[in-house]
Amino acid sequence: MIRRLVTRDSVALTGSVIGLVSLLFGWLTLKPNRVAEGTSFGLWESAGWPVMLAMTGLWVTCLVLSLVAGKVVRKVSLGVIANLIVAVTFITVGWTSGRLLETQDAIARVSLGVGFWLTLGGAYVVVFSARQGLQERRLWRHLVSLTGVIVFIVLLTVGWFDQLSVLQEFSGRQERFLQELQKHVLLFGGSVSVGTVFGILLGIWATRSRRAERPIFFLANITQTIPSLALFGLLIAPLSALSFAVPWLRDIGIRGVGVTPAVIALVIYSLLPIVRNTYVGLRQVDVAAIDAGLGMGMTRAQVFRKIEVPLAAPLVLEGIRTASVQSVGLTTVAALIGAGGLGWFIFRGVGQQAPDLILVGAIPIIFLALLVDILMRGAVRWATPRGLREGEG
Amino acid sequence: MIRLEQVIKLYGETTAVDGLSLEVTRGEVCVLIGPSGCGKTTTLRMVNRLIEPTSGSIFIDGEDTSRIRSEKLRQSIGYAIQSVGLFPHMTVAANIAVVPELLHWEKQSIATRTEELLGLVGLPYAEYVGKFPHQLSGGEAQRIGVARALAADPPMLLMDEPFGAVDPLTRERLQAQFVRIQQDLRKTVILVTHDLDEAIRLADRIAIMEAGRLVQHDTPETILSRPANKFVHDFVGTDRALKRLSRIGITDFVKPAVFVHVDGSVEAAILACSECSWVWVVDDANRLVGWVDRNSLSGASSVRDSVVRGDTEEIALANTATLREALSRMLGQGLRSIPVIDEGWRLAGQVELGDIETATSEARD
Amino acid sequence: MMRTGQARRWLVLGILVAAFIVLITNEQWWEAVFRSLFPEESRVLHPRASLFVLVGEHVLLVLYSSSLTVLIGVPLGIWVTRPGGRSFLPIVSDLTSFGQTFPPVAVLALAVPMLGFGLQPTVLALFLYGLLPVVRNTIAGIGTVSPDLVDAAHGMGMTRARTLVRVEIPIAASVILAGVRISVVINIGTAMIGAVIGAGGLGSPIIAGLVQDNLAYILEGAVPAAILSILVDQFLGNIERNFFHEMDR
Repeated sequence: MIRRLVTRDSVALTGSVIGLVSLLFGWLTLKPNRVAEGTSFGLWESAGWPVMLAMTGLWVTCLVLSLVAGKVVRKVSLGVIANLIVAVTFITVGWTSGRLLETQDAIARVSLGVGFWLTLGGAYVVVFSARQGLQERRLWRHLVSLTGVIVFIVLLTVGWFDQLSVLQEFSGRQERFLQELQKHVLLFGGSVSVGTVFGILLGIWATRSRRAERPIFFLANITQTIPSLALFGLLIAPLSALSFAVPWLRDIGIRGVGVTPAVIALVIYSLLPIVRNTYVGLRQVDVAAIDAGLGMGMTRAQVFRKIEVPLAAPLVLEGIRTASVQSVGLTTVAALIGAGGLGWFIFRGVGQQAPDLILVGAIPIIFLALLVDILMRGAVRWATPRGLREGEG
Repeated sequence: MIRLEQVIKLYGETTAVDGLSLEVTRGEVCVLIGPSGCGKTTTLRMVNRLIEPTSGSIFIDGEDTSRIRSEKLRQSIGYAIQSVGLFPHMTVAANIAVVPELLHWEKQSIATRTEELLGLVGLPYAEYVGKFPHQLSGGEAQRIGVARALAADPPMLLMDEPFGAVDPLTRERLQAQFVRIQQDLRKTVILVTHDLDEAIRLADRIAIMEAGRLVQHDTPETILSRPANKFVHDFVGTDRALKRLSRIGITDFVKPAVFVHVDGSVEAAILACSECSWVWVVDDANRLVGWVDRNSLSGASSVRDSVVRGDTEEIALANTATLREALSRMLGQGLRSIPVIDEGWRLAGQVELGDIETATSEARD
Repeated sequence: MMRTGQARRWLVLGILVAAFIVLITNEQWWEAVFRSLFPEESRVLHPRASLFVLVGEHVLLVLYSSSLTVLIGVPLGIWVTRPGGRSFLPIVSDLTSFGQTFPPVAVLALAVPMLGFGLQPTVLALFLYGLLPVVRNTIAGIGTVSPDLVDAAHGMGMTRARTLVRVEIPIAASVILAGVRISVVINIGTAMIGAVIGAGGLGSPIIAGLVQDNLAYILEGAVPAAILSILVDQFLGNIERNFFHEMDR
């Protein structure tokens, strides 16, 4: 009987338990300055008993709902409550961070504690479980998934979170942030574009020539296993020597460190996913369709354009997606060799031992990667011809 | 219309086609048949130059095909292959429209033609025009493949095992359809198959190949009755008499059948049964419903109640069927006569076992 | 038993690994080569530790975190395919795919605010990020086992546990190993950046080289790292191929 109760919705149950446990952990951490150790403040300390009781009540409701209640009612109410928890969390965080700082010096800082992250984590586990059960009701499903995000964005834009250390670090460096963001996008965008052109060409070559196939894949595979920092390093030495020996290269900006080795390495890294997917994409085109096309009187070019390209396109775009998401991360490392980008904040934060500066770099990078992923998935869907979208037979 | 002169194809050391000379007249169906590796598919693909001959020439309407640009050549020849090769990302309509578009036909003409073709292969236009290949069954896909090959109304068709990839029942229907279409269109066809029964059924002349060489090129009757050598003899097999029956349609053997109306009187039915042991029963539209005999009629209140209904498809023959089918049906059902129905399922007559026996003995000579 | 093609691969790999070990224990060769390439540098080898020690640090770091990853990741992946853990399959699947869009650097960076600097956050980040391909591939690998096969095994009287061990895992093995291989190779790369937060390893000479503008330091870190990575990838690839062939029997 207990087993049946517990297994009714174990995911939501787990989320609720995580949520309840989170109440025991530090909500916010108050530091006298940006680099010192801080003292942790629990939810009841920062926000007072009423809020604490309210949150506890919400979590307990989640717990109970996950044990009982019929499917649809449960899923919808869990979704609503979880989003409510998320909203309350964000609102409270903004408010309590200000409150804690009231009695402190201007250089004091407030960061997010483990309890905050656990609360969000638990809430989204519950949201996930609610989403699963709402497959048919698309409107509810989207509401449940996105409400918390919308609340966050709204609060962020009105400056509700400005008292948090992360945003303090950011506020002083907005211009720099935009600069580095721009550099980051240009770097990975540019190199993936170049990589796409070369990758597709190499992929096509590999499908046409058995002899070229092996060395192409061998090289692409090997280069992929080389760690990014090592590849940067391997490129820096010869490039330095080159720019030293040929001075006009220096004048146009090609130097040993900085953007040049970064771009070259990024292009090399984006090759394998694109080459491989182009190859597989073209190979999996039904041979009978190509034979039929030729037999009907299409030229080789027409067969390529009208049959092979549309059928291979989704796979090629998948490869570009993989390469793009990968590049966002690799560009971060490029900041180490002086290429700029959002990694600059991460490594500066490490150097200054200021964890919140690290976050100023890390969090946007994660969002950027996710955004690129979503956009590219959309591109793949757009490129999938209707005949293939519904799946086989 | 199509003439191959001493065509040779070598792959390194292997000779795939060895000095083949063949002529196919206009409107003729020539079936290339032979064991695996005999070069029949290679020969077919040399006609539209998907494979280039090592030496020898192929003439179409007197023109040497090697002098025509290969795309132009292929656009004037219909091409249907076993795996069909429908373009998965295009609808049925788009698939059919490919060659007409390559030839720059007007949109309206293409649409009209597509409608014509779907009707020709027996698929309802409205239902199929927007479907995608993965939504089609094997038989449907094959029919669309044939429609696509005929799209630009080419005078010639090359077909490579076009009915191979489906189950025997569907294959039979497709073959019947092909015969019907060919009667209408009278295209010049070269068809490759490994199925001798198919060859016998469809061909005007059969070209038997072995190891790249042409062994015998004759009408099916001649091949069956006068095989040129031991190879052909063995290839054709021992049931030649039976095979010949699949060349003969039942139309000449259909006799008027005795029937009664389903809503007619029991007395009239019993009267009709006095001459023969049973009578066919039809409805208002003359469609076959079943049969009645003296047993089922005794004590019955109406014909309708006593009719022995059967699945019309199982008990009746289409009027396009061959004698071989008729014989097979009779043996299978244990009957001495079978009803014949037309396209509208209407009773057209019956075929009797005795008549088939006569036909077989005549064919033996 | 191994076929000759396999045996030859192992032999070649063995020779290369031996050569690599010889290379990194003989620092003086590196010294000589670098001196000739960069005559203007006063120091060509990073003074903190010998090359051998650096490689050792790196290898230990990766070994430690990858072992944890496999010890926890594979059972986790198996558990969510069992009836007991089935309800967690969607969330674990989605999390691991979602997590793979995170740049590994970012995960490493996020570990610092939580655990500070040094070895601890690096190991944690490597462990967590390494979990993703391992869990994903374990789930996928178990998924390739046809349910008919499992059914047959049960029908023969095998217990669930026995079926898992003798049927499902061997079939899933090559896919799981592929996941481990991906995880380890990524970890080798991420561990290099760990040097920035004080974890040591082959990243430290590169960082030092970048800071002090010393190309020799950079190569001292980059070249062995590249070779190490390729060798480990080939090694694990060979093992993977072994398992794949075993399945064909």
